[in-house]
Amino acid sequence: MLKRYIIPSALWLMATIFIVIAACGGDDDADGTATPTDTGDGTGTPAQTGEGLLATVLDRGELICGVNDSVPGFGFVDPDTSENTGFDVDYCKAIALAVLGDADAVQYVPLTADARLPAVQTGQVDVLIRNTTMTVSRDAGSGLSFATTTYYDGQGLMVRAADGYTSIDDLATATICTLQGTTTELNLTDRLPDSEPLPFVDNDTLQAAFIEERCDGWTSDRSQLAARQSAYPESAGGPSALVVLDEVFSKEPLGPVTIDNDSQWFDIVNWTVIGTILAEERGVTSANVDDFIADPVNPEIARMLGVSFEGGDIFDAGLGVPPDFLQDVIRGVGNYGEIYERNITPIGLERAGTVNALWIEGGLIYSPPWR
Amino acid sequence: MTVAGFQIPDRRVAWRWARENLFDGSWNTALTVGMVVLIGVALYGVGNFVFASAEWEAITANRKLFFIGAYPRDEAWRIWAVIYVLAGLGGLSWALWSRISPLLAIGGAIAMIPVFVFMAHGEVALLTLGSLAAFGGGYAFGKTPALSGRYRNTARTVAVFLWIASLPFSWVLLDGVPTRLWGGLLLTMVLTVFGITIAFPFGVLLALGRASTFPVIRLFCVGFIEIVRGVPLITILFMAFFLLPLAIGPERTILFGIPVTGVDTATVQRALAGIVIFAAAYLAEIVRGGLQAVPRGQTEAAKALGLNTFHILGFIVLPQALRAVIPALVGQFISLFKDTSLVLVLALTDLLGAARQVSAQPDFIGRQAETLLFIALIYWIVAFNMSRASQQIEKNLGVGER
Repeated sequence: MLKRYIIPSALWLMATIFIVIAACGGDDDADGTATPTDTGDGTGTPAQTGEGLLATVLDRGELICGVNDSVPGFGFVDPDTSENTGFDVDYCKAIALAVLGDADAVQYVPLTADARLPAVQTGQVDVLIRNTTMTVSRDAGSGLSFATTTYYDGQGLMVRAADGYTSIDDLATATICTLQGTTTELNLTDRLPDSEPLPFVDNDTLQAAFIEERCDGWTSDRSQLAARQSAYPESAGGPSALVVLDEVFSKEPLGPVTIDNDSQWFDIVNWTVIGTILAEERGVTSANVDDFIADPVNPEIARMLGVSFEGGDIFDAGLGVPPDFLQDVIRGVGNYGEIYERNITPIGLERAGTVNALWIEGGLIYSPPWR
Repeated sequence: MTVAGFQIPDRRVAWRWARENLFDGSWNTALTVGMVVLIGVALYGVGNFVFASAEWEAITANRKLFFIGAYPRDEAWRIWAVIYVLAGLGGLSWALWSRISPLLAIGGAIAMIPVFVFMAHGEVALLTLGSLAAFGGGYAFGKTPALSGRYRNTARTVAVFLWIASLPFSWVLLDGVPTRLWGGLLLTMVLTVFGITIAFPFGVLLALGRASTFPVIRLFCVGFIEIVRGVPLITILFMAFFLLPLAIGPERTILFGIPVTGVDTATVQRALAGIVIFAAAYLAEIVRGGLQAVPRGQTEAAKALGLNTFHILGFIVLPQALRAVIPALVGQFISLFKDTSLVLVLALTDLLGAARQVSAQPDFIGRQAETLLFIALIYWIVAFNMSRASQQIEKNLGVGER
């Protein structure tokens, strides 16, 4: 009697054991591979070669970059090439150029808002450039580091021009459309406690409701409002039927995010961004970078591009990448201004006079000295 | 001539029929007129949108994104190779099994012409027509005298093995491109086809295990089925995405030659694993229903004939059990096909993900009515064909006739 059970159950057990063994046996390169967190001692000492994300990326020959695939201007999919493109995506390319010298050596991982921070924490992406706001709890509590801000966004409010609202206070008791589960909803309650928020899951349904006049105002990041305004359907009056009010009532500094405790990798990401800003400040563009390499008109440009100035030594900042890494970056994606103009100007966001102008033109885009 | 069961010999009688059924009394007349107006307004609205106000350029400019996502154009031959092999096999099987002429298949192909009109640009249209030719070629080969006569049973066995072999073949061929680049309809179909074919045997095993008299097996199967059925698919997908890397680490882990975790390739495989686990539990309960429908006397008679356990299951019980639950199985398959759109939460670009990406492109911001309508059409075509196929199988097996 017992025999009837023994054979099938033995088969079952064997199958289970086989699967477990196969799972463990296949895991052949799990040991010996450096994990991102075992680098550095927290004091900013550059890691030894062979450790950290820099070594991982160099070994892999490819940068894994977490991006957005559905924000116009910042990260979306180009219909002609079906490739990721946008402002954030260009910064992925810049980092790939800095480390690997190849703008195409990037693997883009599209991430949802919920998945983006865990993806950096678990090492699924090397760097996250996905319009992510720097906040103290994200920086301190989540094991993440925020590099130099690439875009200063802020929450704004858009109304229909015909309604005649001129300031945000006019909408103190109005109904205002927002996106569900975002900080914009919370900021709205801070700014206009008596208003009535009407939350939606995405911008498309929100726009439909706004056209039906179910709400008087539409609040979101100003970059997104501008993108929506520029594409407002003609049947609803076109872009001129809308006004984005002047007041900005939240700060949304967006920039690259890396994992904590890998200071070498963080420095490379950070100074690649700074390099594009400095290049703009010094007038170095993708078109004239080769002229500056041949004749760096001043010492800082020479240091930045890793070339000798009037026969002097080549400056190496000790980032762990070749001192001339910015040559490839500028040649490949251009300076900050070029990246901005290529991606953000087309969605209707002028740069002049905003916080995203260079500091010498009254904005916040500023580069520490390169020495 | 018959309309909705009413005999309508000529126009005069048609008018009388209408008067008796649609305009008898003021209430019914008002109802008829009101409904006609309502339907007219709705049809006008839809027609006006489809033919006048919609900007179909959002679809035509993104054909590739909708159908294969980020799969490189240069590597698209891999997909075509898979389509041709499957079309040829489909034609062959049709010839070997079906009692119905291929006119139905041709009708289905003609019904898809509107989609191809969208797709029509040079080589894609030609290659699509070519796949129909491959289907026809397979059919003609299956209808050759040798295969439809003497060697029919051998041919059927070979065809079954070819179908089984075509799955790993397709995966290996497609895998020449990293799975993270798979997208659009391709990804939806991969998740559906592999989800169904991997989950189905597991579902049968779980159902048999649940009916087992051996407590360890039974408890394991009951536990697995009840736990998985109590958790939403979206949760299982999130767990596959977040917990697996935390548990195993971000390095590559290879299971049966397929990388299951690892930063570079594994999201599709992990989503597939989640779908398989989820579907297996539901399929198990459907199959269990079929097992219970097989009279006990069948098993006892088989035992009396001296068949062993595997023969009883394989030749007596399972064929009857599965045949009885075909409608429920296909219903589960169709719902699995539509559930694959949940991989959107893992930021995979399936058909729905492609639609979301298109309505974020600067040129097509907010054109989601067009994109959603288009993918709804594709979903419907596939689901409708699955349903037709199941009816065909039922007819061939004579379900409800014996």
